Amino acid sequence: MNKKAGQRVLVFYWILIMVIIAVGIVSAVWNVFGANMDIREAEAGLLKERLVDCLVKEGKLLDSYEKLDSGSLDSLNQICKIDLKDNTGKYKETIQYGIIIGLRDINDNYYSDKSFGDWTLGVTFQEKGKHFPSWHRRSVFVLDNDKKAFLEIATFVDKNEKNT
Amino acid sequence: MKKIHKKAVGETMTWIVATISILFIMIIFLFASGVFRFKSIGDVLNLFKGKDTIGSLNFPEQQQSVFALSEYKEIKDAIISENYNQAENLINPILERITEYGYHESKGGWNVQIFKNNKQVKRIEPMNIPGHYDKQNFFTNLKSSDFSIRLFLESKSENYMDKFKNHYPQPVQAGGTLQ
Repeated sequence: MNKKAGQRVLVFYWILIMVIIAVGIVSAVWNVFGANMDIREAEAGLLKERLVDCLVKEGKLLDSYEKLDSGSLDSLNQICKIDLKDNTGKYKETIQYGIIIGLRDINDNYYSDKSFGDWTLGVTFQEKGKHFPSWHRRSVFVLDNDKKAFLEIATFVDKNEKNT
Repeated sequence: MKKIHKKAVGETMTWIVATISILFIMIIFLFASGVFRFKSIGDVLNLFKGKDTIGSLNFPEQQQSVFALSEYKEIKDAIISENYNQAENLINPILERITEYGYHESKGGWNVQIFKNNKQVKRIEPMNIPGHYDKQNFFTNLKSSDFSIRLFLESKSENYMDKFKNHYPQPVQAGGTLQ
């Protein structure tokens, strides 16, 4: 009788240990993979690099800059193969990216600028507090038909509710 | 009876120790998972030392800028006439604009070397950071060029460079012919 009672206690003990182990494994996995992983900065950097590759070759500004129609996502897609439309569920209807491109002469005067997507992300950058968009901003020294200029590129990625 | 009692106590102790061991391992496991949770893609990539990272540390914008510098007629003229101070005056304001945001720190920044016929003729340090920690020993001159301009990240602080230790920025360079 005592032996049987002991075995019953052991079964409960085993179940308890299994539950503790299962909870521990689930918690640890949840802890690692449930953490927010912010890939937006990498995304903004890649966007900037793609633009540099599209617009400049061997230090010279390409025709593709002139061909880009400011504000037109289609022209950006056709010329630079950059699609700013996010068709993955949550952000389907709203643009989560912003691009501002400008040309500045050697005396720091802008003589051309273009923008794509939600360029106002650059403005709201300060206002969003904790969940601000990720961004990259770079200047590239280029020869624009032998004229010395700086190509300014700023890229913004919002995506505060996914991808972070 | 005493013998049975002793055996029971021994068995119970074994189970208690086993339980404590399991809980201890579990707590370590949970703690480790908390420590290793990733905040960004960079954290994940940092685990794979020596692997290339996704974008942004290859500095294509600096590469394109150096190409443009090597095509800049006034700079070429200054190198032909060996007026390297003039070349420095032309390069400095450009360099200040094209260097990576955030690298304008007192401890690190981008420097420039000009080579003519494979010999260094000018070293430009606009950030006033004489390099004591130059890791760029994989550099080779551009043999087919009369001159080359090389742009590289440098610092006197080892700690500053440590943040690039897994994907150290390559120096960027471009060459040209002097005519």
